Amino acid sequence: MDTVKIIIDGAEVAVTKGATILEASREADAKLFNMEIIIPTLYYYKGLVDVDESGVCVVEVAGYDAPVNASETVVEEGMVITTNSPKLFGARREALAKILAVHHHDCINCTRSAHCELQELLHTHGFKNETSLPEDQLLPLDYSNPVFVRDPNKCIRCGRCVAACGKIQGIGAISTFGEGLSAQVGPNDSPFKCAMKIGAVACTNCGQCLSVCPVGALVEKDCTDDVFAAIADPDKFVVVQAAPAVRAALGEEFDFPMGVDVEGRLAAALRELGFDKVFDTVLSADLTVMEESNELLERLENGGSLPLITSCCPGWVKYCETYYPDLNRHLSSCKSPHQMFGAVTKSYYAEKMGIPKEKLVVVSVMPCTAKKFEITREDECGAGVPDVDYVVTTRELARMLNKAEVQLRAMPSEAFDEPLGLGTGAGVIFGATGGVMEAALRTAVEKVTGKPLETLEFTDIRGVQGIKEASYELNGKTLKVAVVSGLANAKKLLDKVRSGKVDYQFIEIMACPGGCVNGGGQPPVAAAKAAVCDVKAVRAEALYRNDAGKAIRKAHENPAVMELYREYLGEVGSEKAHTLLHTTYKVR
Amino acid sequence: MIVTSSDVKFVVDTDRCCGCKVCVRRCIEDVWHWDPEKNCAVPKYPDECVLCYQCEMDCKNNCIEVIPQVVIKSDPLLNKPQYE
Amino acid sequence: MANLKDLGKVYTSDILIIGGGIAGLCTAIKAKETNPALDVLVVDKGSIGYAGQSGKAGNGITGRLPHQNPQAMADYLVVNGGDYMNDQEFLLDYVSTNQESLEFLDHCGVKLSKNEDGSIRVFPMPNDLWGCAGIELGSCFSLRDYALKVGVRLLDRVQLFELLTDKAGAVIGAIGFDCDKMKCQIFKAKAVAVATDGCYFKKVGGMFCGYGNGIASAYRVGALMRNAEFSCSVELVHKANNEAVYGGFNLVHNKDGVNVSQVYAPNAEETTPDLHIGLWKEVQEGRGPLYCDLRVLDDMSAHIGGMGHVNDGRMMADKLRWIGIEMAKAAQTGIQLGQTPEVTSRMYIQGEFLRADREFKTNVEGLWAPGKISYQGSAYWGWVRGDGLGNGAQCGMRAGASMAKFATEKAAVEPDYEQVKALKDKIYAPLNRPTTRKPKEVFDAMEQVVFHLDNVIVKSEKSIQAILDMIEELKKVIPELTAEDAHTLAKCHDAADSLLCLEIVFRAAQMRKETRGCVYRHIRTDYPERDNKNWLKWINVKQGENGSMELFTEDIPMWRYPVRPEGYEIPEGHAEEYYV
Repeated sequence: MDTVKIIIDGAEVAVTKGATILEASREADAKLFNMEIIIPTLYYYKGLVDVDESGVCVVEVAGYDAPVNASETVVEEGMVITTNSPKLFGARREALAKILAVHHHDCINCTRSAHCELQELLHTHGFKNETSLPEDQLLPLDYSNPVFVRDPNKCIRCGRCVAACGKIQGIGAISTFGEGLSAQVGPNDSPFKCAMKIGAVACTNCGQCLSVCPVGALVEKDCTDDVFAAIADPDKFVVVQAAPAVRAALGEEFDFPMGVDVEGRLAAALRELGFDKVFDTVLSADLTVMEESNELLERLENGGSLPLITSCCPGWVKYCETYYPDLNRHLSSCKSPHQMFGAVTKSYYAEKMGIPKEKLVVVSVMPCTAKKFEITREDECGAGVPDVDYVVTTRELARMLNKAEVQLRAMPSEAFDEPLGLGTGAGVIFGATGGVMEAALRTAVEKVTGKPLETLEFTDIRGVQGIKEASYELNGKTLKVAVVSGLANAKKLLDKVRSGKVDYQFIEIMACPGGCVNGGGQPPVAAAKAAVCDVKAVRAEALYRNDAGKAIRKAHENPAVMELYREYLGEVGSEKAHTLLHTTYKVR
Repeated sequence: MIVTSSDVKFVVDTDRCCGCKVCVRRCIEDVWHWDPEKNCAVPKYPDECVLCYQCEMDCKNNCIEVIPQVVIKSDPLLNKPQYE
Repeated sequence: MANLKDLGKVYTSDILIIGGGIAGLCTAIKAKETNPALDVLVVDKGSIGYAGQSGKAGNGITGRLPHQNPQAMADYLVVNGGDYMNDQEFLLDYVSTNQESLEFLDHCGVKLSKNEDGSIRVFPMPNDLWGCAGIELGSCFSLRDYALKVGVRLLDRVQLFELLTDKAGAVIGAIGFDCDKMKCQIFKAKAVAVATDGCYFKKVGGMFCGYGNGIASAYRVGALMRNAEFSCSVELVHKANNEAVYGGFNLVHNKDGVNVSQVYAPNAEETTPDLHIGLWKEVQEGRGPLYCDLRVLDDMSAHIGGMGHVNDGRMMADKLRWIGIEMAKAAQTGIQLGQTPEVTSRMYIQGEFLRADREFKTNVEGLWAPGKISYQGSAYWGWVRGDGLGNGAQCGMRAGASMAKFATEKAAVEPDYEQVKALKDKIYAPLNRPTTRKPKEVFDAMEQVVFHLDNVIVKSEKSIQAILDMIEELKKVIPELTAEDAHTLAKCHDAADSLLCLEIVFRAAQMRKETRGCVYRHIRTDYPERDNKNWLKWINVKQGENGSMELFTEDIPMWRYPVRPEGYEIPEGHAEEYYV
């Protein structure tokens, strides 16, 4: 790799040729053991907003009078760079003051307080007089979207949400009008507005915009008060389930290092909150594998619509219904795991325990915002009542635990409750891109070949790349599969599917790049951290480690699932199974 | 808000308290406590402050100023021998 | 059937570590890595990562360069550290693992100064017997992260005051309350460590925030204390902000411009009582105020002042920022620090005398004492600049492995309900008293003790007795202390525990009828010489019958050690046992 020599903060170091000063500074920071090189950024987010125009990301370069934008300027041989000086400090303060002028500074009431990238910069730059905007200058909050609230008064015009929706998801439900920050104080006349279309159908509720927002301008709709009320209501029996991806990231909200699997502590913490039963969505992921692998084999045998495309991601499902409704027939008829879980709870479990299903409240803790919309869909009431009553994101759960003063770090490792708490390693990896496919294959391959698998890891469909493909031999026939995450990637593949250019039999599609571990409801990761850490890979790794450590790693060997079929559902794909566990789609 | 003890004066901009509670966590002498009624952090036991300034340094909204009034109350070397 | 859960919130684990500073976290990590199947729980009265002394300590930590010989360092420390009070076998073992302890911290992700190739960079100290590496200010955050990664449980804002014991007297848990809601918290474990720091008799400007809860609760279950008479030391401080003038001890001048450091403690390698006794004389005889001339630093001052790490920007940045703020604050009080700041003495009583063996285990089964709490009590007497943090890692490695082994083999024992209830009632008693005494009264009185050179540095039978008499009076105040909330309730117990520690220090000082010690020196004006004939002994203190305090001596097994005082003769009944 070609390098150039630069002198940064007095230290000479070789960095990658062609890199921006910002990128080079990170390289230098890693290489120089006894120095810290930090160039502050505000708008910058790797892969989304690579040129930071906030005015904060500036450095001094010898030979230039004014500070230069580190995210835009490319390093040259012999360049002399200073990352911190009184002049730069002053320039950054000026830039921040301009942004503050259009930001409603209301930290005590903001859910992002203490986790806000703007607040952090204001702190390190000694701001003491930021204020909230006067009442008459406040724009109304936008509640039009079913899963999140947009507060235009907090928006600092970083453009990350626009990039996430347009570039990564290929949708563009958010866009900008006008340029940059208005020099005026007060937003009413600002030519910079966010687009009006967020509440419209174009949005798939994936929440990628939420998790990259540096401030509290985009926040999920919070239902934690309702959940607390249900728990406190003696008349209600409240059941909670948690998705696999939650355990890979919840710790981050409690100062755990990234990538620590907190499964056991999560179960204990949910118990502390007072839920009547603490179950695991992983069990219903196993259930999904049973139904979906059966569906795959049926379609393969009977010539059904191929490729079969997974349906556990409601962001993807809405995208399909909106942009590719002609491909609806390819979607698996299976509900997503947590919906299946709700249906089973309100039928099987309710009857088993003698609890009237109207008194049962099912709460899903999810890494996902689209699921908040999913539970309102028409065909998600398997037992005649809504499968799931509330969806709480990982972030909302963290707020609940803090409010109830439950210390996640102190929790012992506990198991989930029976009978709906036992999940296999196959179900756990659902949270990573390729995990649903791998879990299904572990079952399908063994079913078809009749032989136990030698290795359970299907490594060629693991990894954070947007599009992966593989093929497997099943009793003389070739099964070609594809795994996609991120909707812009999905579009590429689906266009080919539409035109008949590809011959996959089974496709997994996740709306969120990297899969659910990077879902719209997961803890936000500050740009500085995201630039040096492969968040998707690190969180996914936690799930793969969890899987490797489980005694049972195949869905069809889950004794609790087996019992569920034996006692209640009958055969896989039975009529009862269809009523409870399958759903239908529409054209939007 | 201004809170004074004989040794220390705390000047706290309670309006801008953001609720992060870093001051409560940082303080080694349990001086800072959260006041749910005022909805902000307060130096509840100012007498026990040891002037480490961690609260001031780490307050996320730079709301806290810790001002020493008297640091050394008197000089031990000026004490006469007590026992003859 | 009476259930513990009726008394309070119950936590169960295999290993309980009270105190989440560097020692507690290192112990927890080592125990968990020794046996990952063990459930390890760390509890702290503050927030782990921020808590305690070590939460804000950094800059230097003791290490070793390959050419440096541990035996040479040990020999040096017997003469210049413990003044023959060392357990020399333990000392050699301890200093032999100086570098290993750095590698342990590196393994846990703590930031240390590094060479280009990624190896730990150690700077030689001027005497070239040991070295010093740079360490980040946030070592406890890094340790916290690593502890969470390996599965250790961390509980914040719970303060523990009493230990639970089984019928045989082994420690099987602890009890206290949470710092916010004051709800009772009960802990059950197979092995317990008090990593709660020593007792420091509270003074402004110090990061030392231990009140002796660990020492006192261990005392009450029969643990031995040792070397308590060597708890006293003195530091040179800025008059402006009460902060230590690190490395300034050779540079003190009187008002006539005479370098009085060279008069009373010429070419010292560390701050010693001799200097301060001299400084006191100077001021009493009218030659004050005293100042430190920092315009030209000598080698030692430069090193100890941290200049040796001037290239380690990462290590120094936080510390410099902090120092900068302190200097600015001092300026606000109207005193400029500058290059010739006015200085005075500050006395310390550092009560770190819980007795521990080479695994940092106490004499009580099931109870360990890693960290500063046993710094003197373990008798290795290895204090050098940088061992403050080094001690945490060293103790952690040994205690963690030892506790893990013990807990793996031990069966859990259920605490006795009646015992727990009685302890709970004792802990909450100050809430329901009709009297009105406040802990501040006790703390102010103890602080006054520490404020006088002739209480702390230069003792006599008269001064010691005066203090013991005062302690007897204060003991009457303890049962009358009242509290209204978690904070004030904790202070009542802090006052009682600190008072107990003060009594231990002065009873031991009363017993030792000689003068001995280097930096931590026991000086008796009525016995001004070293008495190697009668006093090559350790003084142990323990709780006696009827709650009285019992002291007894123990011969130091000098016949096993390499470094002996001049004229030493092996006593009757013993033979030469030191072999190279």
